[in-house]
Amino acid sequence: MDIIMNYIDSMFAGIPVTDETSRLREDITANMTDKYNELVKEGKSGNEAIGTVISEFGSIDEVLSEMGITRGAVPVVITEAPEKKYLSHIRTVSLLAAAGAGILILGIALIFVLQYHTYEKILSLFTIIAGIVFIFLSLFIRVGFRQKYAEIPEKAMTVLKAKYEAKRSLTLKMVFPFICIFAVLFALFSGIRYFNVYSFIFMVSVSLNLAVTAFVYTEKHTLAGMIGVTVPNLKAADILRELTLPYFMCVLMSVTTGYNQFEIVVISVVVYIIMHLCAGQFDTIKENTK
Amino acid sequence: MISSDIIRGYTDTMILFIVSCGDSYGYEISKQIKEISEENYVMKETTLYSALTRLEKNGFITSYSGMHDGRKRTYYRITDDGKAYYKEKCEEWELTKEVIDKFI
Repeated sequence: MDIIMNYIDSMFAGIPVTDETSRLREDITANMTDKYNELVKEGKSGNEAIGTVISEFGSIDEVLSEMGITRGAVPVVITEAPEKKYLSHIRTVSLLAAAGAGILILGIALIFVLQYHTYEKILSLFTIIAGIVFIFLSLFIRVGFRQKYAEIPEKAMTVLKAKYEAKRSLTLKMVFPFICIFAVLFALFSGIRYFNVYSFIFMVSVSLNLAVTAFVYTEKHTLAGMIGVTVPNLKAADILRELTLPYFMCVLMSVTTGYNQFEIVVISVVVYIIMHLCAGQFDTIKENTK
Repeated sequence: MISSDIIRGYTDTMILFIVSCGDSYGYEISKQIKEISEENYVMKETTLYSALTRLEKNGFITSYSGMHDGRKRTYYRITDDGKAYYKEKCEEWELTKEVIDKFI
């Protein structure tokens, strides 16, 4: 039996491992094992049975050409699969963390704002719990993420690393710091000028938002570090962009729409979640169009 | 033993005939082909799987995972398109036979 297994191993050597080829391998192994057992049962000697089974194998290239697989395509297949997995994991983790934080902040803000009726208290409590659940979910996935990526071949990681390093465009790096400084000054000014309880909540929640955004963003890099890849290099301009974009959006809205501060808190949470959704998509789109 | 070159154009037809009698998996199909052909034709493992891949791609059969003797197997089932294709191939063979017979 070992001879048959070794034969199959050698036939499948260098063939990319996909769902299709692993199924083929599994099926062919089962067939050859059955055939061997049946021949032995019929009274053939072990060696005779092995000879017959192997002579009836055929040529692996025949199946591969039907499946559209060539041996030369090996490196491409190895590098693309983990990359997609990697991107989808980053997106899921940061999305969950961001949504969790956003919802949690909304819950805290609700405690301050809504406390006149019992149902309002329950609502804020429920919102806080939901936020915590989201954050735990993201932590949970993060742990799985780490385990999963221990399996990715080193070669694939090198390619991944190279792709990510050439990722951020110069325009983004130049424009965003300027917008950010402008936004921070603007926000500080409006906070002091119209100070009241709502603007206090607004400031606290937005600050928390920023803290969590920073956390999620740095965490992406920490994660990447753990699995041996430097995903986008952590540059000052990137941090500023990530940290101040939601802030800028909120301030801009409060100025242009005339909403009160509580409404802005709600909007900021929404913007925050949408932004992270977009950030995740942005990474993927950019990778796919390369 | 018939050489596989001659039979190549009809391996798909043989497989379709087997699965039209009931869902089957790889080894069972090749065993039945061997039996029906009275051991005059043995289909190679890779010939069988390239045919199965082709048939599935063309929508003539569908596959699903099943268990047999405690081992995971891929079972194949014929589709309506597959039945129609089988009929077509049978008619084609009748014609081929008629033509070739004129030279024999």
